[in-house]
Parts: sequence; structure tokens; C-alpha cells
Amino acid sequence: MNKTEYIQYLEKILLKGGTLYHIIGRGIREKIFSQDEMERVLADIISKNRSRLPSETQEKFNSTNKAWNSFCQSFGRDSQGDSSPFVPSSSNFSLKMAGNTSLKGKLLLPCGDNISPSKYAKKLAKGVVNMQSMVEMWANTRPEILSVISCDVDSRGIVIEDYTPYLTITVSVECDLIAYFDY
Amino acid sequence: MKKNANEKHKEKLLSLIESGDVASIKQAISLNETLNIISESEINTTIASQLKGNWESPLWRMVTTSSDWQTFLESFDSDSGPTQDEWTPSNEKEGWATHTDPFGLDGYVAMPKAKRGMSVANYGKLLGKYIVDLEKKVLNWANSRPEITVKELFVWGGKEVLSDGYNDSVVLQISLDVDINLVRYFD
Repeated sequence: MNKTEYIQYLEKILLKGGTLYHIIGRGIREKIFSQDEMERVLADIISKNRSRLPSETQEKFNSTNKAWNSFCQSFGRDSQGDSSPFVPSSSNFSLKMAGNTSLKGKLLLPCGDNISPSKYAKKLAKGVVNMQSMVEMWANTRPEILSVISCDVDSRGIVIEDYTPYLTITVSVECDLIAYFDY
Repeated sequence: MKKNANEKHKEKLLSLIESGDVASIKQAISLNETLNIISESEINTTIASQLKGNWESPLWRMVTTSSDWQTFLESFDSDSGPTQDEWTPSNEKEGWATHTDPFGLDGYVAMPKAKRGMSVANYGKLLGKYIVDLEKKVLNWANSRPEITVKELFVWGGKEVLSDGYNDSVVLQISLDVDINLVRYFD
């Protein structure tokens, strides 16, 4: 099977909702494509057929979004009676290209409670530094994320929305599309 | 006889203070330093009663303009624009608080923005250092003011960080509770 035939076969099985694990494994083992090339092939097929993907496959990709949203929401807080959960509106898992992609999220900041500025400084600094550690820990639990390349804050710094302070962060990750089909 | 003389002096000094005139108050305080017949606390209370409600008076202007809380707040170099301040009587019922109720100085200090490509962890450290430094500067400022005794410095619980509402910057809301000895304004 040459490269073109293999891509056509892969696309056909993917759109039918068949199991790709063995097909991908075989393509790599038989050196039709290297692992990196396979990532790009999969990304191309997925991008081209975004609207035609079987629901089960869509669900696999959405699982990253859902997990990311839940993670962002876990930073919710009670503040003077306002305990409504915060839903990140800009969370996005892009599959436009294989390799590096980014997750955007809004994370709530810890609050003060009439404490001295230095105590609040410690609480705030610890909370924000921990955010990055928690993002990295979360990423480690996701098989489709190989590594966190960077975890950066929006240059505006703290942003206020609905009287609530939060940080907008962008997490660049090295992702592994093949991992979605490892089962 | 001596008691009557002291009472007369006291009445005279109090009437000078109650005039609300800055020069007269200065004169009364100066005379009292020699005669020592009115306690500083009583002078404070008497000056405070003159300030109450007289927001257009020269006395009020002298007290407020000699406080550089606003200038101090504006000294924070920030990309977020100027800070705001409030110089607020502690409460309407008590008027100026002296030695009993603390006087609240509210301040809104611009928070630092992040640099492009700054990691979340580094921004956290930047925020922490900025606020710790801020606290030191505020306390140093307060200690440099003879009229002020610091009671408490705190960030507003639950509303410690908010939008300044003017130039889209984010500010930290602090409150410096102090005792004010009004006599020191006339030293």
C-alpha cells in the first residue's frame, strides 16, 4: 500500500467510525509514515472532514474541551454570596494542525477577605503560581497531550468581568492526535 | 482665684479654636503649650467639631491639602494610568475620629500588567512582590506623617481587585485605618 492509498483507506475507516488503532499502528510499523507524519496526515483528514466526522470521533475530540472546561471551572469561588460557577467562554482546542496547539481559559483569582496586603500578596502569588502547576498536572492526565510547551498569561494581566477578577491564560501544548485512537 | 484664672484661659483658648480660624487655632495651641490647661484630646475634639460639615472652610482645606495621600497614591508608576483616592471622614455621626474611631484612607492602586509571553507562575510572583512592596510604601508613608498613627491596613475582602471604571485598568482596593491627631497639623 503506497502513501496515497493508505491515506484514502485511513480516511474511509475514520469516516465510517471504524477502529483506527491497528491501522495507524500498521502504517507506522510498515514505515508508510513516521509517527510525526502520521500526526499530520490525521490532522489533514480531520480538518478536511470536520463536519463529516462520526459522532463518536467528535466526542473523542470534545473530551479534551470538556476536561479543560471542567478544569477551568474548578477555580470557581465563593465571594460574598456570589457562587455562580464560572464557564470559560474562550476555551478552544484547535485541531487545525498536528503538533502544537493551544488551550485558552479564564481562571478565577483567589480573594482577600479583609487581610493585610502582604498576606493577600502571598495568597495571590501562591494561587497564581499554583495555577501553572495545576495546569501542568492536568495536562499530564491527558493522554493526547504530550507536553506543556508554555503556560502564559494574557498581557493585560488581571482582567475584570462581571466584577470578578480572573486571568486569561494560553496553554501551548504538544499534542498527539494518535492518542485519541489508542483504544 | 487660680482656678478661675485657668478656667478663663481655657475658655479663651477654646473660643480661639472654636472660631475655626487657622491662625487662631495655631495661636491657641501655641499658648496652651505654655499654659498646659487643655488636654490634646480635648483640642482634637474641638478642632474636629469645627471641621464637621465645614467642607468649604479654610480649616478643612488646610487639613486636606496638607495630607498628601493623593499625591502618594499617584506616585505609583503604572501603565494603568493614575490612581484615585478618597479622603473620607470616618463617619458622619462622629465627625473626625481622633484617638477613638480610626479614620479610613481608601486607595485604589493600579495592578501591574503582564509582559508579553510572561508565564502564569512568573506573573504570580510579580503580583506578590508588587503588593508586598506596596504595603511597605504605604506604611512608610504613614509613618512619615506626624498626624497619623496606623491602626490597620487591609485589602477589601471579596472586592480587593476591581476595575477602576475609567481607563480600563485593574486596581487593588486598600484601606488604611489611622488615628489622626489634628493638633499635629498646627505644629
